[in-house]
Amino acid sequence: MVNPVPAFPAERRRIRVSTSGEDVLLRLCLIALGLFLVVGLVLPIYTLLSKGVQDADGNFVGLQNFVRYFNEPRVSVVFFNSLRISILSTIITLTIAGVYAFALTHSRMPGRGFFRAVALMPLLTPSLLPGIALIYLFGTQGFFREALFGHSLYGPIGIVMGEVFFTFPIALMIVLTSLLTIDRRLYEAATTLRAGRVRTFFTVTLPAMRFGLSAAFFAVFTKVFTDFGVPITVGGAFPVLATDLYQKVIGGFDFQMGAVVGILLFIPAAIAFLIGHLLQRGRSAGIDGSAVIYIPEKSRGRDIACFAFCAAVALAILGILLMAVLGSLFKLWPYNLGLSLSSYNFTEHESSGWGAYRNSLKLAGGTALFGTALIFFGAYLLERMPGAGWMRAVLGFLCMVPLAMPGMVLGLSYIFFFNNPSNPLGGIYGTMTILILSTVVHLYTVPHLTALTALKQLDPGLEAVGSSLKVSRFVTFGRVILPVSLPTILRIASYLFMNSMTTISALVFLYSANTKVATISVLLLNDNAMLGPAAAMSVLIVATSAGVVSLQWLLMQGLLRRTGAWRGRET
Amino acid sequence: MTTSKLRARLRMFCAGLMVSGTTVFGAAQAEELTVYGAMAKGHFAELIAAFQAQEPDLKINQLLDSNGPIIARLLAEEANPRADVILGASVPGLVMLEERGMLEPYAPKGLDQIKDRFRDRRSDPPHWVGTDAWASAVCFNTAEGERLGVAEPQSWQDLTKPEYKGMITMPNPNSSATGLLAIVGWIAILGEDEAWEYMDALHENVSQYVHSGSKPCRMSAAGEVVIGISYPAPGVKAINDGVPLTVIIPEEGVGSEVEGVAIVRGARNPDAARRLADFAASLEAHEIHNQYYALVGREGVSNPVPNYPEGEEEALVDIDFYWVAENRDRILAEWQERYGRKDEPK
Repeated sequence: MVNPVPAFPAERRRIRVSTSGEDVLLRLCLIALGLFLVVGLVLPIYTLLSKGVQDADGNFVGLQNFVRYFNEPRVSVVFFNSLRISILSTIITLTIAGVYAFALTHSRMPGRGFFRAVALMPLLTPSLLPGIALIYLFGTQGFFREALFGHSLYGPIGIVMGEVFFTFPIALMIVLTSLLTIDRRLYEAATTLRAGRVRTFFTVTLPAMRFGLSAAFFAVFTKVFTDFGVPITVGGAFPVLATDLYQKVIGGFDFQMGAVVGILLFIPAAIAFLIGHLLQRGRSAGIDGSAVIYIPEKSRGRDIACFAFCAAVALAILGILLMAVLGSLFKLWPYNLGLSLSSYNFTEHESSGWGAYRNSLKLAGGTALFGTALIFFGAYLLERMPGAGWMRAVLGFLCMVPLAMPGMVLGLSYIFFFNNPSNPLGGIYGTMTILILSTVVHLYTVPHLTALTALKQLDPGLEAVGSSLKVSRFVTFGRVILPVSLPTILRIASYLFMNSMTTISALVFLYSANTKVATISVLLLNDNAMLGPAAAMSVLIVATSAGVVSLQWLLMQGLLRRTGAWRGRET
Repeated sequence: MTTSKLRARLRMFCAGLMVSGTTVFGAAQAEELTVYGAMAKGHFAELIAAFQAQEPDLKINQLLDSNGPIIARLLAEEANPRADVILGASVPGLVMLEERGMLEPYAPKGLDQIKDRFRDRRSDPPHWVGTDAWASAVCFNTAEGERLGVAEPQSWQDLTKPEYKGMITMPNPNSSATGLLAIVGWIAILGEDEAWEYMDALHENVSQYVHSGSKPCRMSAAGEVVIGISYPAPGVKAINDGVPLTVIIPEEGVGSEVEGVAIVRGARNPDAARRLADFAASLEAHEIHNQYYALVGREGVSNPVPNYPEGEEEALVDIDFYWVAENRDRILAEWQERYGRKDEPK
């Protein structure tokens, strides 16, 4: 795109590379990324956090609000509820996702493509959907309520079930990416050195998974810790921090307390981030540019075990989805189980009718387009740009912050920041643009990690080779990095599309009279216990996302055939 | 080759920006009105449709949510209001907005026809005008009651009987005007100290406090719980849909509350906002209010609502909403202290 123009005449050129025009341009790009993160993340958060140390009239009151919050009775119960639920859900999710990912990449069981597709299906759903489906399955009137042996779904049981369903594909995506990059020759070497299967697993497979697992742990833990979609549907009388925040802000109009709870939500997320970071530091150099994809050997016993495990997981996922579809078709659950399409007549159930669905399409399209370009190029700058170390470190940290950022807090902070009359950007408040901006920022981290993981696998020597051939980094980016990463880019685009279709929390305060989206519809319908129409709108969201992901899958197959040939076969 | 590919990408991206730009700015031609609604969905839709029929050229942006979120949103937007007019917010919420100086006083046409109880009495012209009143009620699922062998409760006191343990839901007063109304009703009936004692006993039977005011009744209609403390409208609808449900007006009486229309100070379209306020106070609109609520703001409009529980009007206990607005924070803090954080269920 850009031809390099040396900034200085040849005779003044120093040995340091950083003086070239190309590097200046790269730094400008980095600054632009920084500006985006400052406007979209840092300033709004600052505005909100400052509310945490102000009273309702804006006077500075120091930590008084925190003291007030901790003086509320049994506050630690809520905090530890959140912590327990998050740790339990994360461990269960990671165990299932780890085994599942291993089965997908290290076995020759039949139906691997099918299992992978099914496993990613929860990405198509708003986090309210598992809650709604679980009510049909295990609620007081649920079809399988006896399966809980008299325990109530509403509370920790429901939350953990819903969260595991909801976060499973996030963990799987990250672990899978790290497993796919193991060099086949490492296994060949292990065999040559007569290492047994178990030893190979612990010396080759597990170390390669470590970065993926730690990244996944961080991602899942914070996702559960900050999610409110599942607890709001099946949490019952079991308070967690996210629903407490929702209650404080939406219910009590208490923005100061909301800011306080928001800050409390940050702390464990930040700790999870640091642990993930430390684990990652011990990681080996990774894969060089000539990595060869691993093809597992035949082993009947392993394949049968893998198949049984994956089939059970896939059945659970499909069961929840099918229950939602069925639920949307019941005439009057639980008293008339005849089927009808009346729940899909949205104009009758919701003031915005089908308009909410159309708005969701706009939001998802805009986020996928704008977000993918920004996030991938941003990750490239952070991972592969020379110099500017401190700036890259700061931006790298900022890119991780959205994952620890409860969507509710982000949405609230946007109101305070963008709806301030003195803000020159105030014009975007109440428009689709602010929804897209908030969604890109809210979803930033996971695709950023995906892009980083993929970029880390590319030989660091690629640019060196490029510059020895006297081509600019931008040319190397366009000719080598981009084509090789196209599968990752597609994955990011469809991730963004699906998540924009399904996200709620950041939008709940930002949607306006003209820009109400489908997930908000689901939330409002569920708030009013209109389970059928809520299920119907969720199903519509899933169907749309499924259409997009099928398209991505088709494109991906074609692409891998053309661009993946150099690295052997991909599953 | 790469350069052209990148250019194509860039062009696509710019085109995307332009498209989103036109959808954002292109529609600003006709006169607009932004309405924030906090009333029942059918009621709101019918009012807006009737108003639109009068004003075919007006572009009406509508946002409907529960009372709590609407008030929270108005407060958050205080510095830079986006709404022109509020329709159907509960009066304690409106009083709170008024006291923060966020409402524009206006006397809609036909104000003299509005009952005294249904208008802002502290100011002339009034900051808000009531459209209708609603009251607490208890929804009881008869099929579930029969299955579990419990009788239909007749009074608020009945709800504290041990046989109903874990069978009752109630709206969280922090988010729901319905929840707050039930509590101030008990305070009006029993006196404040006894009301808290009553709630302590009731708390033993409550399985969960939910977010929205209609949800307890709908949950009871879906058989998720047996009893929902709510208001009549969702129960009446469920009965008409064929659910085995009854709507009970407890013997001791029920608190009632007015919801109304108000114009936002700093509204961007004050003219259209005034016209909607005129409309909401008109006879035509009151006939619509009357299809959903037995008690409406205008004198002489009182047709019976089909399937509405009988005896509501006699059971109404008048609530002083200025007292509620003044004591709201204190009541909610006390409630939160006592019941806000149920211990982990065993």
